[in-house]
Amino acid sequence: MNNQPFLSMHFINRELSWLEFNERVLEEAKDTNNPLLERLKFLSIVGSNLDEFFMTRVASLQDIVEANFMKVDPSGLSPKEQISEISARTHKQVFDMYNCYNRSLKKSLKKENMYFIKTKDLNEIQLNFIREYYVNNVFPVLTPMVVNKNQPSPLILNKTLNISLLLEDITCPDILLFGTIQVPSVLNRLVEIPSLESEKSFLLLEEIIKLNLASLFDNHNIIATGCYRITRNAFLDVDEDESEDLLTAVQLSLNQRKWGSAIRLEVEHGINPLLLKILEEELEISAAAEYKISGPIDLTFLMKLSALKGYDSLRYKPIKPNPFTSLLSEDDIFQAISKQDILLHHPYDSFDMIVDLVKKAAGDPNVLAIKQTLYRVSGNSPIIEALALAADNGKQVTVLLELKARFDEQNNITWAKKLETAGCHVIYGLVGLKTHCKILLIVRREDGLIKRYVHLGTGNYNDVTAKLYTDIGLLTSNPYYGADASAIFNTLSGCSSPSHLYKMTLAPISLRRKFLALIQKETEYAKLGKRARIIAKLNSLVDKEIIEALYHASSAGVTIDLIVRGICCLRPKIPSISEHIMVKSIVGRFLEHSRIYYFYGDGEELIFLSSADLMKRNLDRRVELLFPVEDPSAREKVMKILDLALQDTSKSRVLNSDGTYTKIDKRGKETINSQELFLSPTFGETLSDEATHTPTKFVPITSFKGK
Amino acid sequence: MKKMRNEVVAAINVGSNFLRMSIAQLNTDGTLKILEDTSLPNNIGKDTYTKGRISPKTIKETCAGLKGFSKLMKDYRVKIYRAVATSGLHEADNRDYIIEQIRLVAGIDVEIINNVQERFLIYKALRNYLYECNNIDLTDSMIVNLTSGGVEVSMYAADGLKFTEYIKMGPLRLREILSTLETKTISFPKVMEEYIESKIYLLKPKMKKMHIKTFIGLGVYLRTILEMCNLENHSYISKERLEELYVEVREMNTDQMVDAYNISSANAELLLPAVLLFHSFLSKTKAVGIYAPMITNRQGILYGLIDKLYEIPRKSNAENDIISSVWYMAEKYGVDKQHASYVERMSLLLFDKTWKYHRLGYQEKLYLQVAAILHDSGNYVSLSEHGNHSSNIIRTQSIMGFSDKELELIANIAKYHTTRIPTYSDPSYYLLSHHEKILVSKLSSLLKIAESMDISHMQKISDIEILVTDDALQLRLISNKEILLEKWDISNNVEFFQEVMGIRIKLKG
Repeated sequence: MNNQPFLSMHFINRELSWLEFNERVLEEAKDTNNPLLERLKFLSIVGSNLDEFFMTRVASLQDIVEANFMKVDPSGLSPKEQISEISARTHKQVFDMYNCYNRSLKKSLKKENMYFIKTKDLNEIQLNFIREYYVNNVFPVLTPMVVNKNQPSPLILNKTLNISLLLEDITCPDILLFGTIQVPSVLNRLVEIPSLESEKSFLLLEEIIKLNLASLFDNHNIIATGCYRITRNAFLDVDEDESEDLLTAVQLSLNQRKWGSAIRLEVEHGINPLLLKILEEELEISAAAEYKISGPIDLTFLMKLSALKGYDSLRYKPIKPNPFTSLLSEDDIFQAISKQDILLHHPYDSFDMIVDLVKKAAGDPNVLAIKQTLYRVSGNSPIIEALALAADNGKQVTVLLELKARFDEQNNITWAKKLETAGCHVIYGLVGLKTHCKILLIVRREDGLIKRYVHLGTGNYNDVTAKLYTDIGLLTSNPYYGADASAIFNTLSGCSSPSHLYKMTLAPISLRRKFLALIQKETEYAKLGKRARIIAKLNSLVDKEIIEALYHASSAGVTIDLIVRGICCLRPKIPSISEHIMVKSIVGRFLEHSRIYYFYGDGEELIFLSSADLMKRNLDRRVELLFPVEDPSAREKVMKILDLALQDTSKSRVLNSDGTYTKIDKRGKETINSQELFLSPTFGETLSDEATHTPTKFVPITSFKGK
Repeated sequence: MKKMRNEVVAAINVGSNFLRMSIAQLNTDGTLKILEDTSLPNNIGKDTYTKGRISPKTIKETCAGLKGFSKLMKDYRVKIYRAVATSGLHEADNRDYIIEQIRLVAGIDVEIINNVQERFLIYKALRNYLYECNNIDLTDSMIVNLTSGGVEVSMYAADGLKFTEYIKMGPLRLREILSTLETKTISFPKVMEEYIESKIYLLKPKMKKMHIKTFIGLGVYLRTILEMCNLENHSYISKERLEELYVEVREMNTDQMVDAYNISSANAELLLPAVLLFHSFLSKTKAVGIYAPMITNRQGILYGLIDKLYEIPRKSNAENDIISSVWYMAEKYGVDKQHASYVERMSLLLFDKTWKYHRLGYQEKLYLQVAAILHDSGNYVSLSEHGNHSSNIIRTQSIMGFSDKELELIANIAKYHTTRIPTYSDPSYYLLSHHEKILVSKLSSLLKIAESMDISHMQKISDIEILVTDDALQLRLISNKEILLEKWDISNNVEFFQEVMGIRIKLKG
């Protein structure tokens, strides 16, 4: 059985799976049970997700095609085929997006007295306001350009919105000219215009510019106008998931090519065909990469709209993170951690605890050293402030700041400088590896003895995203964890070669082997007729080797439940290959981000948390951590999280063997929204009580079907 | 006991293929808790064993690595540390510049130690290890310490350490020496084995004679060997298991070993010689396996630091090893045991009774003791000028625990046990520093008196009494025999004593 080869039909293409994920976010925008302004946010996220997807994934595929690299993905698709399938799927998705916007969201906004006014419906007062606004604010920053046949075409910036024009020279009407204006990104796209008191009326910036075009082009007649936007290959690097030889091939071809070619063109629906033809020629773009948009191009302005003052009834109720009771009753956070491990589930448990811990450590005379990895930090990070303060106070502060975090480079460099100035020892990542693990180590001297406190997490030390992403963190003073944390920092700071770790497993050294061994062990138990079970909650499941191991496990009889929020290339429910595997995805208010791995282990019940997803890049090209949860009450809490996630019926979708997702049929079942339940203030309380009374014994859910 | 509690100290070893550091917290009960154990690979041994010098690139990497160590020490506010460098640096011609660069870049003072001092550190740690696990007895045992540069073999009988030999045949050195042969033969392991056998040829008769029952293996290579046998958490490997491994690796090249045992290729390269060496030694004993206590010289340094801080009298064991092995040497050179033992006893007695005048310490007393035991070893070479010969023998012997400098001091002390006194015309004396000259002179003046007391080799003087008066030490010799010769010989040495110590000796009785 173990040597059974798997066919391409047993895998789902990762790009198409990602598009399915985006579809689920779109479903949230469509879901009228969600508050209106939150739906706007979801739709905006669908749009910005697509932008990033094109700039990185599609661009990368395009690069591979152009490098003439024939490589078929596990699902059997060539890069060309992938691009064409992506295009087909995306066109459908974009159509649905605008359907949602035009038919549902705009109507609902109207009901709340919020209007997008058509220019023809503007009244005199509004027209005056617009004229005034244009002259004072817009006109000074406009740069209209007219392109002659023998001039080089102007550089159209990535992701900017532009208005294209077809112009006729008054003096010689035979010659048609092409003009373009960038809708200035320094100004708000969404302009509120005067209206009745109880109402809100909006106009988009491009509409205002369009109304005033005549003033920009003297001696020209404007024959046609149309908005457009291009997405360029922004990430001049092939994704880290690809192999070395491919990287080299693509890099070679990149050197020979001009920078950032256009990957996608969005144009206003009904654009003049001649204008479209000019754009196509200028940008050398294929018809498959063109998107005709029935509505405003680039819906990310909806994020601004959703942030409108007031209207709180149209939003989620603000969250009240559970302050951790056992920490509050303790004066000293270090004492509290010494008593027992503390497991934090964000955003339900407040992230302030971690910020406070670093702040406390910074001011504590007994603290000798603080070491921390930082991947993406927030705009005004209190953690960075605290670390700088600690260095000021004479503590040894070591920070490993990953500069290569995608789209975040500039932000990170600014913080790094600040930390260095304060006297911290800053390490800027490792050559060839992204440091993705989340670990904090505090070395303290207590009654003369050295003691180490460790925080390990599944999510970044980012106080802003910690309110939006679900993540788990473990605080412990377990000396083995402390020794491991020290060893890991020594490795990361180049002080030591990787050495033996007691509890943790580090990628890229041994994490892949560890996962495979854990799955293998479970498979062996199943073969012996023992009960065997794997539960994993993660963001993406892509790695082929791991998927194959899971197939083998399933064939051997291991019951496998996977809660994969995003991409899942594993195809479930294939007879005799993956029939014991259930895959579901939870997409809701909070971005599911925690990574939990559970193995029944013949009753031993191994519970791990990790910074890693099961992707090639996580296992082979990043520094990632896997660590066990050993404290009884912490284990119980993790199992509760898994349990509730598995029980969720409200925001869960189950992956079908054809790669589509369907919502759970709720007939005859209670509606369970796990995120809402975690949020309820009583959840944490009852748990900690239970944990203290029934310390070790708990029963994992045996089957999803039974629920 | 000094009032220092829970001090955090560090031990650094600038080794031949690794820079290593241990940071530990000392507990007041004398045990220690390791806080950090770090290691970084380097090419010091590779450079030295092939070119005799360390390349600028390696120097730079070493300095950078140690700078990182220095930073880590700051994390724990370490103030007390000891950094040593072993054979790789010890044998490099440009070692002084490297030591200086390390001092400037990393702020760490590195002390170069010879393999005998290293052995002393390791045995110090080993003694502590044995103390903690009671089941290993050193009687009839053999300790094989495998380092990159060499292998050191020590053998214990019931009454202590008998013998230690250092052979420059560590895995790294073997690799470098034989590297040109590797491409010329497919049975490279066999060639290497022959080479090893040729090197330990001289040890064979001794091993046969001693009936070794316990085999203790030291050095980092043993850890890899245990890992390859899936014995990671064990500290013992049976003869059969080693035999299996030996048969396996003998047929493999480096790449195959990397695949088969999941080890790095750097490790694999050194593993073949390591396995061959252990196998070769073990097969010549009656031991049924290798104890692998995973002792490092850093642990020895750490224990040494504790002993110093808390003034723990743990020294005795290590000193017993030294004295026991010195006696073994004395026997080898046919020393009159009764005479040497008498001179040893009397020198120490004099040392203690005249302390007020020389004020020398514990370590110096040990020099005197060793010099006293070996003072006549030169007779083995020739009866004339035997002082010089004794001195040469001491200088070239590796005596555990002593640095090259210390051996030089002992050699000088022993040289002047006759009526001959140190002068500037004697180059070995001339080259000593002022402080060392005084030390040698003081100790040899004591040794001279002790030697004179048994000039007849008949141990006629059973005891002495010393009475301190204002202007002299009254030395009363207790004997029921005729001691005219002894008295005369002592009187010949009294003047020198007075010159050095500033007090006159008056003979009485």
